[in-house]
Amino acid sequence: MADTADILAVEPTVVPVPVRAHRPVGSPVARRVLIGIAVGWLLLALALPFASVFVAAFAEGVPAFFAALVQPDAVHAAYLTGLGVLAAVSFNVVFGILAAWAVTRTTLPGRGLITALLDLPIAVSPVIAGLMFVLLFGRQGWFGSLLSTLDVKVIFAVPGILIATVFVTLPFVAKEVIGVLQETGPAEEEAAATLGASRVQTFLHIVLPNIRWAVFYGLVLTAARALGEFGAVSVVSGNLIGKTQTLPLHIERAYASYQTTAAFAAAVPLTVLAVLTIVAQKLLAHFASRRRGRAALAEESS
Amino acid sequence: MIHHIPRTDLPRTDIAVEGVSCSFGGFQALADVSLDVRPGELLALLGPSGSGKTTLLRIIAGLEQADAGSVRIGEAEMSGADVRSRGIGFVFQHYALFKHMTVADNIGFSMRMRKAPKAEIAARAHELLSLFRLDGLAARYPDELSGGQRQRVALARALASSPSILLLDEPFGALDARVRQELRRWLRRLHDDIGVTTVFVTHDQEEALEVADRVVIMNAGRIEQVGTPEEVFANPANEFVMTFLGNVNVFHGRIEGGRVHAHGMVMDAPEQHAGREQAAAKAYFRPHELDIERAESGAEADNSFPATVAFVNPVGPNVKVELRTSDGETVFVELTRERYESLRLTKDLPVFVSPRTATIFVEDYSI
Repeated sequence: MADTADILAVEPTVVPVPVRAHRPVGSPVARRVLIGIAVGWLLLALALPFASVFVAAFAEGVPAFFAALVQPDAVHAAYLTGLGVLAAVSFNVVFGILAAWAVTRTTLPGRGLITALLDLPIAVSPVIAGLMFVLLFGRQGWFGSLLSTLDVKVIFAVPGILIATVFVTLPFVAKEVIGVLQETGPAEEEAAATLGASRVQTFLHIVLPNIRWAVFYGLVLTAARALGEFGAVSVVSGNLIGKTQTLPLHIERAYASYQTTAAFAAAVPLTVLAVLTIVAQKLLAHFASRRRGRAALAEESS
Repeated sequence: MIHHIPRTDLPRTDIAVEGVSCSFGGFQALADVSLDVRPGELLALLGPSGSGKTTLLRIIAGLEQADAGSVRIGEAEMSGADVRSRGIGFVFQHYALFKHMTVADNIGFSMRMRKAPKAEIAARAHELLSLFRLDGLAARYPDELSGGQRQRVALARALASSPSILLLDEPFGALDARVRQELRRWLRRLHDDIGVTTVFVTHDQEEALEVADRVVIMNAGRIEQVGTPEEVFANPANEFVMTFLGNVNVFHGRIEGGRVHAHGMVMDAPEQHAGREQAAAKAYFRPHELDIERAESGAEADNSFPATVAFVNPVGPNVKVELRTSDGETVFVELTRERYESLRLTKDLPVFVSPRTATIFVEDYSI
């Protein structure tokens, strides 16, 4: 009975179909004018301010730039910012995946609430977020007396900065992972279970490979937000020079006290990191969409 | 196509489902369902969507928990037991292949999870790849396969751990018609060769009747009938089974003098109902159970009704004829080619329709 097998063997396999670009519409003159306006606006609104950061940073020469970068206050501010990024990234890896799991793969009664709460850090102004923590952990706050008996300082200290940073970055990983888990559905995990995989094995071999790009993508967003966070951190930190100042606070303080080189020199690493973030974001999105694109193509031809 | 039998020592396991109920929110998916699956048989769960067939399959697998009742697989009572401990192979509707793994890694997954020696995994994967005619595809990823190939990978993966029972959820649902036909016959032969007790879910009555040893017809969370394809097709237990298993024509009538009178036709009433004078009855005819006579070939015979030819589809071994009755009803008749040619049917031709055989359902007394 080899005939069936032969028929099965010649089934069509997947062939990618090239997508044709759209034909341009409208008169060439109108097109050029419109493109000119768009590019001009981008130059004016983005490229120029961007370049001005570098011009201002190097206005007093390269040595002055490096001197401003390595001054102790700037170094400490960079250290604190790094700490904030580290806290936000490491917390969100765990929390983001757990929250996404709870929302998409359990029947817990509080699932809707978690989803709603994840929007809170985006919806609430960072300054208000900072004030919330002052009300909770400040000397007059709900836990103020408890913290002072334990001799733990949260507000106007490093823990406050970390808590505020974690709070404002809370949604990024969770939301990305929720999206992917909802899209893939539980079938692969159920399949793994029927094939004898334990919960841990299913997570490591099935879930993690499926969500890893989403996790990376969420972490890039988290890091970007943690690097640049100003409002919430400025409220909880007390803005103490050399103690509770992160890079954005340091820049603002330096600029306000006419130390232009110091301000813009510190702005350079943040700006560079922002550009790297965008590049990483694009690359990750490209990877994710290429996988999805291939899958969609295969779906069509099956 | 199966040249060597992979596991002649596969256990022939039976499944016993007893009084299983299951509801999701307010929706009763299964209501007190009991079913025995015989060792080594190929059983189809057939029903429309929402009939509970997939829920029943998932409860047997342990992917869903029943609210009440019990499931036994072989000697082991499985109620509440984890999916992993049930020794089942499951093929999901859209295959649920692991997208980030190659075909070979998909097939070897169950053996890797129980940490089998690498050589054993490779040997078994190789064996299954050639058994399922996937030899050249071992290094491909699922999104580089056609639908039929994915289906075979899913089956190979499910069988890799030598399960005691095999459960398939709409195994051919996502395939186009031609591939479906091929795979259907192929599944039947595969089952004949490996003999593992198999339950599959389908909404396609043709598929169920063609492939399965026995068919379980489900509707609204209950089992309507269980039997061989011949039994359920020839002796449908009720009107639902009758209408679900193919095209039917229905005529309403009454019992008079021990016979059913419906739309000008007269047929014997079922024995147990023959004495129920004036009881409402329905006469069901499959398209091949009606015959056509040209109207001019004689006076109106007893036991027939007039109609006109509305449409003829002469493609295929049988000719499908669509008729219109005087009160606008459509009647479907299937004729043999010889009969069609001798009748020389044309559109709008007046004809008489008479029954060859009928299936009669007498309505219950109700107030």
